[in-house]
Amino acid sequence: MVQGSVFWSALAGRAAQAVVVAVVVGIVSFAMMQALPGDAAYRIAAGRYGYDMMDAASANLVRAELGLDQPVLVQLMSWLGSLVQFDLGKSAVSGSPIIDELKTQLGHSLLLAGAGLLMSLLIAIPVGVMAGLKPGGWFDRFSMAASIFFRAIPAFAIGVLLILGLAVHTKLFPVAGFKGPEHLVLPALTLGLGLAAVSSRVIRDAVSEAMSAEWRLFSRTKGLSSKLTLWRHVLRNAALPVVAYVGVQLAYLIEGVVIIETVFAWPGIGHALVHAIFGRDVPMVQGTALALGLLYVVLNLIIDLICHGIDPRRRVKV
Amino acid sequence: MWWGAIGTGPFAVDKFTPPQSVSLKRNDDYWGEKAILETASYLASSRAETRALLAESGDADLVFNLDPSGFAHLKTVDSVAVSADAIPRVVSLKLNASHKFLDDARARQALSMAINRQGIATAITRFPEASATQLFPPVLSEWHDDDLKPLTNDVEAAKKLLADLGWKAGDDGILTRNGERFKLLLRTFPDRPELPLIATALQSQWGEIGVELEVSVSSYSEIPKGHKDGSLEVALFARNYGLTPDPIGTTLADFGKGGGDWGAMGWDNAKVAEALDKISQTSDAAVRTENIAIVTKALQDELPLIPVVWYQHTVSVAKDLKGYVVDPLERNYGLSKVSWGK
Repeated sequence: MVQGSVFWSALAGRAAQAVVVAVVVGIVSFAMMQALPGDAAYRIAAGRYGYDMMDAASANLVRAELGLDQPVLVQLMSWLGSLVQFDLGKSAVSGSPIIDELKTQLGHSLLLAGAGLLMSLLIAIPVGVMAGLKPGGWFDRFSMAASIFFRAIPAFAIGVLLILGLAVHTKLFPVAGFKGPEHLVLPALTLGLGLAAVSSRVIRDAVSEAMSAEWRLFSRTKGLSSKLTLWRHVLRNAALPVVAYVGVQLAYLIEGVVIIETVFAWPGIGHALVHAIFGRDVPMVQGTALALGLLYVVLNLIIDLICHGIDPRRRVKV
Repeated sequence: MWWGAIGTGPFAVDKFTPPQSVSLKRNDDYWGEKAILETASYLASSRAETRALLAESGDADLVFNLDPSGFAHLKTVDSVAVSADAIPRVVSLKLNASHKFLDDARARQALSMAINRQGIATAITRFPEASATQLFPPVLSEWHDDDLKPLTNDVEAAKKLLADLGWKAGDDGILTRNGERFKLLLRTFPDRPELPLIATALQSQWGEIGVELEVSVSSYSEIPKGHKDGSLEVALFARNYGLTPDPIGTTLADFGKGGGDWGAMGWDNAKVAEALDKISQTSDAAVRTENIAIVTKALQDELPLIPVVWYQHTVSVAKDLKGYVVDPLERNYGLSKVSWGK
């Protein structure tokens, strides 16, 4: 079967990609951490003990404990050796296994990113389709203005405004934290508004292009109603660039929402990565970078498969 | 789980999600007076804006470390009571007293006189009464000495002291001596958000007496590191002298022989070291008082550290929460004593 072989070759290609990504990301992140200025032992001691407790003596204890005085190559080889046994090691700062930290942080990031993306689609699809059906109309111009507005305001400000409006004054949602689903609403909405600002325009362009395509004229000429044309042909064609774009957004979301995580005191991988870099927590940086790299591969695979499903032309081997 | 919380306190850990939160439940087997609350949870929020909003909305019943604008705003919110309590934490400048520009006590005195502490305490930390007149704040009553001549702001006197040391203003107003510009690098860190602001205020105030100050905001570990390798010139930080119940633990480490990572650098005063040794070995009040006076006088005269402002610990407490007491040593949240009441 042609369809099956394309599917499996895509899967095999991505699997090979994953291995390459893992090795390259691990080595590059290690090399970059080595290149950073400052003494890692001091930074790790700072992360562990806080400014009231850390001093040169504690930094020297950290150096001895973690073997930071060993040759760089020895340290890298020991990480790679553990990696092939699927052991990501322990955080230099907290001492907990990296895998546990990733489960918490990446899990919360995925949840927030997924909810944010869902929120953005709920806003962007109706707005984009409506604007694209009548380019240049009043709704198109209005949504353009709204899109510029939400794109121009920093996410931090949107977050604080939403907190003021929906949490402090009306008490509909909690201000910050991550205990239950109610805590997810405001950060997801903050994310969703920022994302929808751009994706609604992408959807609008895709829809307006599809609406003026020759094949649309043909489907109308052959007798399909305007509604059927929209559902059967326009949306399907417009979906392709949108799905690809959403895939890129999702990848950006998972690691790029540090500010929103901080405002809402939400644990997340972006936050963890930034702290790990400040704290020179090399195993944590490597583990996080590795998880993010592999996530990109998986996302690409999922996007490929969805586009495969939408576009029948891709299923035929050329 | 990788962690095991072993303890004998009034609360036991229920759920732990580092680095962000801990949930506690009452330890009914506690040997001492049992806690009143059944559960409690902590949320770490690194943004001061978020902390103030958590207090205002009622999501958090106790909020620590408010920024000045959040503190001012919460005063107008009916559901919470805010308080600012003096604690033994002091924002100070650590000077490398073996640096060739700073090895004369007069140079350090001049730098101290150039600081408008009142201005910094009013505009940045917003507690004007907490501008430091000596290193140890009044809350450390045994170490605070009312008889000491307070540190003052006198730009003209500062200029004169530096002129006596051979410094002359160059074309751009910066002092020079033997062809060298009076230029210093100050290291500080952003974990306490007011520190970089105070650093830039100092930059401008020292600029008035012709001292060029470059500010580097980085990890606080750069301060002990610079102390160790001798590269440190000036550092700005907030030191808590109440880390040990008797401040002698911290002062001995900071000002004893050889100085300390967070204390004196390149400054050795045999009389001070001897006095600190005596204090650490006795509980005789008279001996302590006599020797503490030797220490505080020497610190005030020779300024191995230049105090800038004393610290206020800001807290917002829900009005219905009873029994909360601020711990000036910042070690206890006092949760075992609090309860809900009218």
